[in-house]
Amino acid sequence: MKNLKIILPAATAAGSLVAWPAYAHGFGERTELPVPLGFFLIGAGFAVALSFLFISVFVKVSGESSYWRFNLLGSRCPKQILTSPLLLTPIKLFSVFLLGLVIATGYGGESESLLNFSPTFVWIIWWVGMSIFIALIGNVWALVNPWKILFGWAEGFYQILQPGQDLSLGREYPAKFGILPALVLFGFYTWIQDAYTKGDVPSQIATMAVIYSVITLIGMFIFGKNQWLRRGEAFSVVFGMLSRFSATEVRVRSNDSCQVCSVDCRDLSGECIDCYECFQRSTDRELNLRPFAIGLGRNEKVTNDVLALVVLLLATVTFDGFSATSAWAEFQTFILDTFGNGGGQVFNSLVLADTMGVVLFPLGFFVIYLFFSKLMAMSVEGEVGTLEMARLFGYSLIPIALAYNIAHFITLLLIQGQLIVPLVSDPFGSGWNIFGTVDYSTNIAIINARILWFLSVGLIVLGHVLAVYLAHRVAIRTFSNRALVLKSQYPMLVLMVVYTVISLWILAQPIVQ
Amino acid sequence: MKIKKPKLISLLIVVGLFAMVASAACGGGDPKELDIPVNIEAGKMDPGTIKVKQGDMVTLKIDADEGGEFHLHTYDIEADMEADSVTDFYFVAEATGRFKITYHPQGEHDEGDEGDHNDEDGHGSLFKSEELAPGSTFSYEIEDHQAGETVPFHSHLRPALNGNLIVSEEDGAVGAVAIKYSDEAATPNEVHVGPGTVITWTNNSSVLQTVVSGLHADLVVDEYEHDDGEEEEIEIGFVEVQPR
Repeated sequence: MKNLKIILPAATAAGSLVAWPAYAHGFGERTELPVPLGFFLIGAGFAVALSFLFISVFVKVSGESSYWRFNLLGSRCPKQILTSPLLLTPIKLFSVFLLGLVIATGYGGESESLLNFSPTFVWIIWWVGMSIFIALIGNVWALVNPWKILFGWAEGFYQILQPGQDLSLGREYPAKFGILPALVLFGFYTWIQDAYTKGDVPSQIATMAVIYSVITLIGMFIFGKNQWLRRGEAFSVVFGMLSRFSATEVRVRSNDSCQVCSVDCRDLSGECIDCYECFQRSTDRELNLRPFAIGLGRNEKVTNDVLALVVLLLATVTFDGFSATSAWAEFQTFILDTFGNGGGQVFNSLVLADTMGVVLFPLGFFVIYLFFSKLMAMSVEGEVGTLEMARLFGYSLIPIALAYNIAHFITLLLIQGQLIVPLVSDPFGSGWNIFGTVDYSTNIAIINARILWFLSVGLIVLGHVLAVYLAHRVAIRTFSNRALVLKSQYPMLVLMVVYTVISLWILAQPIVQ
Repeated sequence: MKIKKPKLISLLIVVGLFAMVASAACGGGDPKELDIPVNIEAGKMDPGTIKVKQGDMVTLKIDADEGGEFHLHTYDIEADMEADSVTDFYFVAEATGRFKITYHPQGEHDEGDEGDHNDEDGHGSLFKSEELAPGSTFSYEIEDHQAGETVPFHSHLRPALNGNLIVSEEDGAVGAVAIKYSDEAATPNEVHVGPGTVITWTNNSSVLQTVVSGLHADLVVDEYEHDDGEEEEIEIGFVEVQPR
């Protein structure tokens, strides 16, 4: 029971988080040092220098849609392992079990956040940890999505009971809505993460999980599993977008399985990439290694709803960091002074301030992006319009956001994430010790600040370079001649430098809340 | 033009690289033993940010105008401070980072619903048991001068087990009073006792428990949640541990 002595002070710490409503991220205490001015300046300098070096030297970027691939399912042995039910079934069972555990511990466990499995698992391991994993390695969410698995099982059972009939109603999804349901759900999730003060309360997490499960299962029931996963299931859509950066893709080569796909999954080059519906059905399938970030530069039509999600993602990532700076604290104080301290626990002035951030950041971001898109449109003499320009280049900004996101969260993941070790042994906080790890005490010196600074600044500069490269690829594919390509890229370059420098600037701010 | 630009930029990069190496190489020196005076007055800490270097053996000499609990987050070190006396708070700055310091003023700490209270019934100041194995007991005798007070108690290992001893000379029970811990609660959780009464806690739960006077920190937070007033735990500053 020694562990409790260690954890209880930590529980006090968690208590303080509840008592401190101006708390930025959903859950977990941030401890990183601000990046020193020198690192900030060097990072910013590199971003600018490399951008112009890129433009003036390496202009021979290919705009072609093909790139290096290595098929992991190409030879027999890895194929057997990677597609074996012996591997996949336990993973799926485990994922559904984890969803159940989050709900069970949320309702039935210790109400103190740090002594309960659900907050650490949901906010740190799943949301922060898995999104980084997916962005770098590949979209495992398509495999472990518990709602997809549950619905798949239900469909299987239904087929046995009523052969030849579908469980879902199979209503036609109104195409004009695009990914709007996912966008709205993710917007709400963002609000819970950055503005709602009770997002770390276990019972609230369980309630959110139940509500989201019901929405998702009903969506699948009405429109069919794959339709809802593509348009309505926020995490499938968001993780899918992040995984475009990753080093793996699933690809279907034959056209046959795409003929019956419920969506038009092929891009403008006729490639069917990362369509899990076709992948599941096809016999001619590939699981490819590919260069990082290349999946963000595919030749495809981007719609307004997708652009909206890209902007929401970019802005959210920035706001999550910005809301911990003293600049934001001043804004909160201003709102507090203006509207008073009133309101309840859930809807008070601080939540109002953060809600304004969650709403205004994406809007502001969008306006700025449109302005630069307009500059780009002007620079190509009307060959492409402003909004089309925005749609074309939206994806290319993601590497900067992603790099910043990793720099922003790595400490939280590495230090607070360790709490999961004792928690798996005692998920309900009721004194169990299933795996004997309850006594584990967090190693808070796991990563040295200096290494972290190099890593953070290095990642952001790298993200910046990849972003410049991607935008260049898109430009070469889109514009008729090289002069226009270059001209179009100057405004984009300025925007990227601004975004990169802002990201670095936030890292250089001491976290005050 | 096309030739000039890369030249200029390569120059920039070289300068940048040098600066980077230089900034990375600076620092150094051996860990030191440091005594740092810290003043807490009216809920404000001076200095607001305590800066040390990795490996330093730090003693904060805390001079607070009010008694309370001083808590260095993540390192998770706590110390009880007494009003108007200097408390030594020692830690070795092994981990780099920026760590929050919070402070519970004792006065607000135990604002109960009823009865008088004084600074003495702060956390663990009246009684504090060893860890009680299931089946073990712990006893405490009410003293004469406690008449009219309300003494909260809890198990530090499970804050949900808590209650109040309401001491009064007129209508309090005398002799012996028993309180039992189960896995869910302490029963009874409120007893009226007179001076001289011996209270015996029995741990009938399935795990180790303790009996500690005062409120558990979590409960203080709970109270805050109900009365949406000012925070009980005040964030007063940071310790910054810079890499060497």
